[in-house]
Amino acid sequence: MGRVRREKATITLNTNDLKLLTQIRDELGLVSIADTVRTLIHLYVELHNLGINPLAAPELLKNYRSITKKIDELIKLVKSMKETEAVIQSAQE
Amino acid sequence: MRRNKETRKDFIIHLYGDNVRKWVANLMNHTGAVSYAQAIRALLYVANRLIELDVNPLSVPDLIKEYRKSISKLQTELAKVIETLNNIPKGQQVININGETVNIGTLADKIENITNMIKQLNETLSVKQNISIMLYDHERKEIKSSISALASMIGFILSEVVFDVKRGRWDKFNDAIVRRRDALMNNQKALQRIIARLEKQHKSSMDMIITKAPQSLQPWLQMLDDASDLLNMMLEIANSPPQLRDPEFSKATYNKMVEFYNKYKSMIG
Repeated sequence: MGRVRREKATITLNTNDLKLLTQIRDELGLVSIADTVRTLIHLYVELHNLGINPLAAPELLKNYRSITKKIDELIKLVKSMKETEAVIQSAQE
Repeated sequence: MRRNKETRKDFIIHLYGDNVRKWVANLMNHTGAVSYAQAIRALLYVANRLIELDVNPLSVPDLIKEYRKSISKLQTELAKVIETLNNIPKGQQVININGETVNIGTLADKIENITNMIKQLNETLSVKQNISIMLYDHERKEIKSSISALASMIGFILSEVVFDVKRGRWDKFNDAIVRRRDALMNNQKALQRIIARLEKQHKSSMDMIITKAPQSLQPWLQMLDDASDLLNMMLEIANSPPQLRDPEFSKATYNKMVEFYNKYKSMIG
């Protein structure tokens, strides 16, 4: 029986891409350029499965960050409102 | 990975694995890329942007899950607040929170603000085509060098033909463009690649893309559009036979070239 052929994708990149890939590889602590490309494709698949467009991810995270502060403020407010509600109820009783 | 011996500039990566081609092809569709390399370049851009934002690209899926969880928690809390507000007797205008008097109307406005923000965020999450318009670094470099080369070429043409043009003679002007046809075509090809990528990705015309783009990107897109329009006019002269050239069209092209030169001469490197 012959060997099963594995699917192969051939990608030709230039020196600038390689420079960027090297930086990303070091940042992510990976060992090879091919691994880095594979990891980025894996990241794309994961984001795709979450229903997120990978290209929109940086913008989305920036949005999230800006809203987080307001969320914290609101949660504090909600807590204090609950306390007030308890006070109102006890006063009515 | 091996270094290509012929050019010594290109690097070839072979990726093996199930579905690898399928995912790269999907990525091409998403990004409007026309080659595997362009698609991977888009991922490199995203990863780089995330690193700049001090976010580890690999933690993005977890971060998004976490944020989604906190948003759904907040929605539950908001529902409780609204219930509390409904329970407050109708005649009461203010309530006391931690010793501070708060107007119920102000509080309701604040809650409405937050609700709107959550709504917007959810829309961003669910609408896949809501991709911010962007230009990759290599595309910016390409635009810059094309504009610089075109402005410098136009500068030479204008100085060559000014005497004849002022006397209403267009042959020398047309010939000057024909002589540079190859350079013009190469320039147009490079710019068209970027325009095609943008139009395919955002499924709109260049004019619409310019209107929708963030303020910081508009000058770049405008440059791209200006250069492409002008190149189309110049190439129409270069590709038409001499007997079919219309002096009025040559005049319009000349005026457009003068306008382009005045606008972009500072970019000549």
